[in-house]
Amino acid sequence: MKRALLFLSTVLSGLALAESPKESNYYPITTLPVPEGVVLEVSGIEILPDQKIAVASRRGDIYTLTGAYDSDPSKVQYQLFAEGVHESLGLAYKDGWLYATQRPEVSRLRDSDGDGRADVFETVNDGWGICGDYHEYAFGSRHDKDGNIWVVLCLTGSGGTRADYRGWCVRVTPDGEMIPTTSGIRSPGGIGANHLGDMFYCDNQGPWNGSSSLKHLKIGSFQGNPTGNVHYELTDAIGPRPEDPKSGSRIVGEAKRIPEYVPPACILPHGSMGNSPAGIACDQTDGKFGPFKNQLFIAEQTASQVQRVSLEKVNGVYQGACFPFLSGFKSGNVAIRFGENGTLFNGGTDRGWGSRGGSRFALERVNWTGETPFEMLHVSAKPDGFEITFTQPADVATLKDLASYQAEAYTYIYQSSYGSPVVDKRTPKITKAEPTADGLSVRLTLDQLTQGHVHELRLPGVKSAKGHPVLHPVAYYTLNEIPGK
Amino acid sequence: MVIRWSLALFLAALAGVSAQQAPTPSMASGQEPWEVGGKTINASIAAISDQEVTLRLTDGSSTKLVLKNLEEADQQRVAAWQTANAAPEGFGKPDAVVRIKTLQGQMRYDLDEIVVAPGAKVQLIFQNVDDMHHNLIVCTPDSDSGMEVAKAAWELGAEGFNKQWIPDHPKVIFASRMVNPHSITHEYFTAPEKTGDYPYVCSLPGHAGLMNGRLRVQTKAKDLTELTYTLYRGSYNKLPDFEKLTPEATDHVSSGTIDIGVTKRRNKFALVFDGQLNVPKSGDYDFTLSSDDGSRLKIDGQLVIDHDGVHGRSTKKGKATLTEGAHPIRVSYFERDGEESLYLGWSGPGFKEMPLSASPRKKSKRQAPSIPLASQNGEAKIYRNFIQGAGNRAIGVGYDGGINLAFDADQLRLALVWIGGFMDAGRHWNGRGQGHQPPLGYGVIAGPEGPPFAKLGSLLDPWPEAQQRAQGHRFKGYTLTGPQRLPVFHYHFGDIAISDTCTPSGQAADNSARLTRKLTFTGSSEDTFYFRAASGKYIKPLATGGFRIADTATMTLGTSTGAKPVLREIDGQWELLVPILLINGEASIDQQLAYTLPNQ
Repeated sequence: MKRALLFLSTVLSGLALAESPKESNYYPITTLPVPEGVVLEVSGIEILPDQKIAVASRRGDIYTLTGAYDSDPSKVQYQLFAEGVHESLGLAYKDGWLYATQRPEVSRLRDSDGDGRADVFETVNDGWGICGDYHEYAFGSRHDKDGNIWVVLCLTGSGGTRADYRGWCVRVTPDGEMIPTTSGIRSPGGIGANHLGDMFYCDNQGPWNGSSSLKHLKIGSFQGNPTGNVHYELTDAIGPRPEDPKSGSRIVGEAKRIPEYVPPACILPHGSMGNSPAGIACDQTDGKFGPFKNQLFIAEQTASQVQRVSLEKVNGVYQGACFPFLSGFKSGNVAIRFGENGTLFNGGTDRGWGSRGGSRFALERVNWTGETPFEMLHVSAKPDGFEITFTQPADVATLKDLASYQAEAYTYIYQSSYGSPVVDKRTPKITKAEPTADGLSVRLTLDQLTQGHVHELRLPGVKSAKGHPVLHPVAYYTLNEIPGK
Repeated sequence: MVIRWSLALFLAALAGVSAQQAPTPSMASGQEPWEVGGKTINASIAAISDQEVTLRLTDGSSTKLVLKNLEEADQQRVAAWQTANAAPEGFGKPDAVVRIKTLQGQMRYDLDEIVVAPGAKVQLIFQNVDDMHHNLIVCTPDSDSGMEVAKAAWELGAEGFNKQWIPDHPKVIFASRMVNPHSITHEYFTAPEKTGDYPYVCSLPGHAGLMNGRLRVQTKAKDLTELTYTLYRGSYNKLPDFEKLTPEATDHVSSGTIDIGVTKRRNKFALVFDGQLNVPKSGDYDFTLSSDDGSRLKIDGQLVIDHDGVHGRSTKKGKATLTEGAHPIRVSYFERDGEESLYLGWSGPGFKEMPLSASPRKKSKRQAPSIPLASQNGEAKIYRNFIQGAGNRAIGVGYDGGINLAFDADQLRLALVWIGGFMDAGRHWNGRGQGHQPPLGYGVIAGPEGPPFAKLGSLLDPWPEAQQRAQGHRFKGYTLTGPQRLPVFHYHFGDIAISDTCTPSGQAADNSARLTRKLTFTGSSEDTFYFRAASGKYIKPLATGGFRIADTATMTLGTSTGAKPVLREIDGQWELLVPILLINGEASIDQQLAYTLPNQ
């Protein structure tokens, strides 16, 4: 009898293993080969006409690639388009020009004689300061609807500002002017717009950043790190210098006290959601990448992952949830870009920081297999809880069961010291779980909501109608605002 | 004793974390408000001695404060730091003091190896000069070079920060606290009794692959006996004649190891250690002497290693054939100012290198591997980066033939010309790439600093001083032209558009290297303005019509208008100015720079 039981349990666990869905069932990662001898520390990716892509490397090379979409990745061909560029961290293509945000300037590059190599390197604007510190990175966006490139300028070192506009976001206009746009930046890892054209960037854990987060670059705002606020002296573009935040406070209190301060749209809890968020890509593929229309995908450098963010606006403030999306990239993801046919290109390097992937650099792509994973699609805040929608129908019985869920809420100290532990922990109780009949959403009522806290919602018991667990059963919702009833 | 939570919490309390907030595990000396010169500044303790504390400010600068002059609150802060960094009760006097640092921007420790005796009580002074947190965890020899522990730390996830990335893992032997950027901590542990190599890593996610080393635990015989030291005070540039000096102090060295810690002086002193070296058996012995500044090793009165002079920490080696038994040994050492260190090690028949000094051997900094760049296929090579002497927006150009330049796009000036090797990208393409890199070649000629063009009221007016950015100038980029892809720089001076082309000729190798530069001006200005072609203490007109601008180079200048260059002396500086007047909206200057350098 004992033996029979043992046998049975082996069979069952074997079955469970075989059926347990994996990320790669839905989103396989393909590594693109890099020519022998080329060190491709990917720092920027852009989509070009004619099924080409451009890839910038931290070493200053920019390659154009053909065959990057080919089902046979070995067909990819590299053409050295430019070299000697100063660590470009942002490529944008427009009207035959490849714009490259370099450390010292936004430039635009063109091949005027058709040999595949850039021969015009035009400086569009170099209005910000730079003092030779490695930390002074400049990440550039694509063009916004007015043709501006947005540039986020890292501080000098971890927490200084020794040159003009370090710690600011600026816009570079089509006629080459620079408009100071926001203050308060620490150490960006990437910049990108959502489907509405609102610009976001990722800022990394450090002074005044208890955890890394995704932040909304609202024009005229203060983004939270006051180090660069000395540069209000240089410009009246965004009004007078706001009051400095108080070290040792909490974001929610300071956001009330300092009107210019826009709290992080989505905190990416340090350690849980990686350690250094970088590039941002918005899924506008019309379903070619799966169900996550208009959501943001974030390259994660240290953990070699891609995270997913679904945002909403409550009381005029962006907020929302992040979810683990995909892991197992070869190196530290820096650049991320949607290409044609729903292809998501990722690339990066671990140089100077290390990454889980372990390779010095990599260029990869992700394609959707066409099979939809069972995932949380959105989490939205309600006056007394959250509504969670799913990509596929859930088993309504598991949705109804309060034991299917766990909730925790916490925040970080808003302080001048580097980072912060998790503090002010609470354990809200889920008092009601009301699914819709189709199993595509559930309305959770919590006995308490804490404004400003990350609400970590875990769904260990929720199963799909087919009996699968949620592929990534955790959401981290940043509750800047609690919606009114 | 793995973590001293209670002390960390105590420190948190002193750091002013108010009671209404959850107590947090404070990291070693985080940012705190200090009272300096009547102002409150946020700073962390970067270093501390008996007399003074060095604070690192948020803007990256440092300031030193004399302990006894501190405000009361700051004195309490120092006292709290000292309490939090004191040896645990009953630890006693450490057997070894190990100073280890992180290297800024490189994700590395400065020591690859620490050598201690079995069971030694170790004080670890761990200084983090990097821009992010680090720790140091000593692991068991079978921990896959510490990677098993580092992986376990990664799995801590959100709890990682709270736990200072120290996993509860059986292969952890000792874990330091997590140290804030630009802060220092003192840690204490007892070395394992079992000899062997114990890897150490930084367990913050992603760091261990680069941040690692080994704690070598090895048995040490009583190599040195009857050891005494003699201390001298004075500012020396080389080892003095000690016979003629009066010592300040002399004493027996109870630890039996050569240790500059016998004095608290850190600058302007000299030490002589005398003792008996107990040679285990007759044979050839190798000695390694590392010091900052100078040192010398004598055995049996014979010079073995002379490492005299003012220098940073560097190493010299020597050999001696010794018979079994005791031999008089003398190590002389001096320190003028700055960093100080002294290491002596020996190896011989049957044993690998063992220290005779208290400070463990500090491996010389691993240099970033060199990545030399050069013109290829006859094409100019461009290197935009931080170039020493050419600023933060420098554009290096390496031409075929071995002549090179660096254009300064901040000042719009030809900043440097040199011959030979172009640039070594190793600094910028390894690690995080901190700092400015000088040219790789030789014969570097620096162009005038400050703006290249100016309107002068009269030739008696001084040239405008350099600003952070050249006023009235604007950089417009460059185009690559011709089969050699020679860059043409474009920029504006006021509303005058300037294009700037340099064409190389000749070879550095046979001393015929030339650079021919053409500046063309287009605009509507009707005023004369000037181009400053050269400046320096030494410019002489030549019979041929050119100018000697340096020992190694001459310059000729021509203009489209026929205007002649003006050589003037102003405040002891010679300047070579070229007047420019646009005719029909155009003008140009031809400038040639020729090397007259003997072949290298």
